[in-house]
Amino acid sequence: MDAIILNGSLKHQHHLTPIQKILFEELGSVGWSVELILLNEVEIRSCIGCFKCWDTTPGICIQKDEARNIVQKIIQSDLVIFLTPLTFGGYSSELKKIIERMLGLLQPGMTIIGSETHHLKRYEHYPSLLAFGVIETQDDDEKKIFDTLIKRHSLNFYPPKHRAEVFLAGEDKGRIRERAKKIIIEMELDK
Amino acid sequence: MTRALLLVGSPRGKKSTSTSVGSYLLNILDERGLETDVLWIKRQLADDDKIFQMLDAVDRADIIILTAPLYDDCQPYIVTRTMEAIAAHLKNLGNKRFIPIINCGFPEPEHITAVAIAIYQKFASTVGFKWAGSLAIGGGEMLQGARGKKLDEIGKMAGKVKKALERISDSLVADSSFPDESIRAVPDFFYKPFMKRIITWMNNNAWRSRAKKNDGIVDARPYSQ
Repeated sequence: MDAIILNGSLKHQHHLTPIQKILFEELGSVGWSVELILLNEVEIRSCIGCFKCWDTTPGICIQKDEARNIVQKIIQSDLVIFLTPLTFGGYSSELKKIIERMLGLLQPGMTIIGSETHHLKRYEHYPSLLAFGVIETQDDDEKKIFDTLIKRHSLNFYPPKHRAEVFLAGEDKGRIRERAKKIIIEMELDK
Repeated sequence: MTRALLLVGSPRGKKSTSTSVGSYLLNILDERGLETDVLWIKRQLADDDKIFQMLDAVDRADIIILTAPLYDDCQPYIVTRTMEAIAAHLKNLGNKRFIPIINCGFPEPEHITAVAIAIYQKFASTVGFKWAGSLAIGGGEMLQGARGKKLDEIGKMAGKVKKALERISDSLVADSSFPDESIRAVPDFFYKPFMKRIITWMNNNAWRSRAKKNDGIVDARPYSQ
């Protein structure tokens, strides 16, 4: 089983590193093969909204950079982990940049889910999603925003399982490990 | 004189719904005596000098209007970068009013109000901007901004959006609050379940044809293992 951690730290930010390390170890201990990508070290262009990944080269972004390889790895994995400093409750710019480049993983056009229209699946299987936000100080508003954001993202990206968790920067490492183990069990990632 | 700055947050740049919507509002404000300026965020992020030029413009403005599309349920990357830069570099912003005007391709504005507006509110409260309301526009593609059309050039389709923008201009000029409002750019008739299914079917076929025209297969799976 393959997992990919997308670390959305901004340059010179290091407070996500302990969480990333613990998650890497805990997933590895239950048999996952985990790849880590520190996004701020990768040259990735931002989405230009051209829709060519829908109507010209369906499924492939026309921008030839490392994002293409990352997006391919994402769809071929079983679990994607978003790791981000919470930015007004949402993703950091580094993480958002790669999320936008994932548009080609969906088809254009729409399907109706409940009362809303959503994009169509391109692939049969999508990876599950675990989203870890890291916050400097306790903020219930930001936690709520992040939780909703991941739920909305999951409506569009069809992960079989998804979960959002918020950690405090500087949280005790033992506690982070306990929480990571619990999440792995509750999401049945150990099976 | 009150200064209004329009930040256009579309990754498409000038040919975008964000430009057509923002320009319409800015023209009204200009006619009503406000000093107006517009910057396209995409262009301003090209280098550090331009980023600081944009921050300087924000610092000098009394009203900051952001027009942007919805990308993946929230603000585009280029807008996130701008929000991070404002939070990191600017102080004492409490005298400035901020209003985001967001459009999405989906016909339902609920895609915007579900969480994106809350992110903008959190941003405003974090940096100290006064919240001046918001507008969520569902069906933004119908406004044909991507084709470079102005709202005045597309007839009745722009009617509801123009009226909402005129109400926003009233509130900005009067320094009164505008509610968090959402509107559907597409006529209400199209939201009836039966019509929605027909439109969806037509839309999907249109994408299929567009891809075929470009020698593409719309439902290709290039990364299948």
